[in-house]
Amino acid sequence: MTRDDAVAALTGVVDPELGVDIVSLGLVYGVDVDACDVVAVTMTLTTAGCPLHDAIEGGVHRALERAGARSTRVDVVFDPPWTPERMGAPIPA
Amino acid sequence: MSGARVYGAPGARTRERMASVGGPPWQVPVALIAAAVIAYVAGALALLGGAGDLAAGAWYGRHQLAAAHLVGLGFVSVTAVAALLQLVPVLLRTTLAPAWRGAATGAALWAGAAIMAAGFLVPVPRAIAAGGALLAAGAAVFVADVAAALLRAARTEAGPGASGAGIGAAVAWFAAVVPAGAVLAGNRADAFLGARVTDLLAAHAAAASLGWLGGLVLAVGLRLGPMFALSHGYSRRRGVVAMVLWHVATLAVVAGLAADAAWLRAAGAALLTVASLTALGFVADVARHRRRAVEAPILHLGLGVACAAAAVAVEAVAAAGGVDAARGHAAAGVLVLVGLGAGVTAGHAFKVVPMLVWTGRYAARMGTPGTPTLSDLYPARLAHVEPVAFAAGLALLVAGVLAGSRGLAAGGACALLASALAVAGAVADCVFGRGRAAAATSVHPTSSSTHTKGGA
Repeated sequence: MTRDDAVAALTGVVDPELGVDIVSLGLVYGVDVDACDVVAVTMTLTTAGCPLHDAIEGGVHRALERAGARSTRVDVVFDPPWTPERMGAPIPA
Repeated sequence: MSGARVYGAPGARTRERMASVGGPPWQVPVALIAAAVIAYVAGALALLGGAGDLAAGAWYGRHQLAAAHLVGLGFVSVTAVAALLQLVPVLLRTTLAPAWRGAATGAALWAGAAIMAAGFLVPVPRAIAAGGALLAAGAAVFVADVAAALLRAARTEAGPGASGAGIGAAVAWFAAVVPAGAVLAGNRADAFLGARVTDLLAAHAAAASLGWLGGLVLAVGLRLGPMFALSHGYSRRRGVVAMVLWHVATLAVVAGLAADAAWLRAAGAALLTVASLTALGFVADVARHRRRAVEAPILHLGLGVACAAAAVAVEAVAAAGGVDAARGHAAAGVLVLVGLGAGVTAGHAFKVVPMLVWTGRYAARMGTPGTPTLSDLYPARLAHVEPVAFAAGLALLVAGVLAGSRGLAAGGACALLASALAVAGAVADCVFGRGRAAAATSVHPTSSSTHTKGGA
């Protein structure tokens, strides 16, 4: 599994409140795929304490596993905080 | 990611993730909100029945009492219990109550309000007493649960926060209003504690509508308003200042009414005006920094706060002799109870119910093709119609009361009934119609392409 595959899988995770996928929203801060297809995602949410936190995090795990990841790890961070200006920003390598 | 602050070990439940757990099964708050909306429709019907009396300046009739308790307790308070069951874990990082107790509390409040309202309407004193007892039991458990949750939150590093403190202040008003109401329901004629019953009734109504309903609206709106509007860069401090001023003003108004002290009432009214304008500034700031179209919650929040300011203005005009005092009190009461309390609650129901239904039915499917989004469940057409009917109805009713026109007041009450029916239709559509159909029809292109590429 490549990093591009993982990012493409994440575009299938649509924020249920906004109707936009988490990559386009700029919620994904980092994606790493190791040689064993273990995918680590660093991401944020539009607001801390978001009631949809579990749903979105679960969606990331499911989308990556469906795309072929052997195991997944999701770190949700709030620093730097998300702002709408991050929409469309590329994911740092 | 360099410089990123990770809460907890990788893969562990982060502090914010923990904040989202602990809510009850989605059916509990949705069932309570559905029951509350039935009380709203019944309250709007009772208001229609009492519109003529309100226009005559009679704010203490059987229809008016029934409407006030159905709307204030059956609708707003029961919705508040349902929302707080879901919201307290997010705000305070602790549960409010086990699901069964939350459901029982909400049911007791709803049944108590309904029985009491029927007792006022018929009238049957025993029904008023029975409803009041049920209500008091539910209220006692609710107040104890909120107090316990706040104490648990206060022991944590993050503390209860401004919204939590605001909820605590509002619930403290509720804790004072319910026993006071019980005493007043048992003694509706004689003076006691050196005060006239009408003064105590006015103080009770002010404490309930301003302290409990208004305080809760501000506390919850402080958090949910920006969240629903996706607002960033707004001044949160302005909302906190408005909330503090609001409670101080309410204290002065309630004390001034109970003690029949005009100077205290005037000081409270002046402070309430400042608080309302500050809150309006907060809502405008949130709306200015929003990143999505204005929807029902923020629209009603702005309208509700404007209603509070208008209520103070009406009372000031009445005090100056510009309008009949009794009709001024009735109009101000309608503005605060319906315009602020019921309106903001109705507006938030348009977002909260779809969120609850989505979380319950579709959250576990997120990340798989065809999963509906919240907007698929949002009853957009009804959400556009409802605020228009509500604002028109409220304006007509208040104008009718102030002008002493029974026809105008009845027309306004009819429009308010239509807006309550729109809320009921939206909830039913979300739970039974749109919420089920969305799963069969919703397809998101990004989901399809992703999984094709991934080869899953």
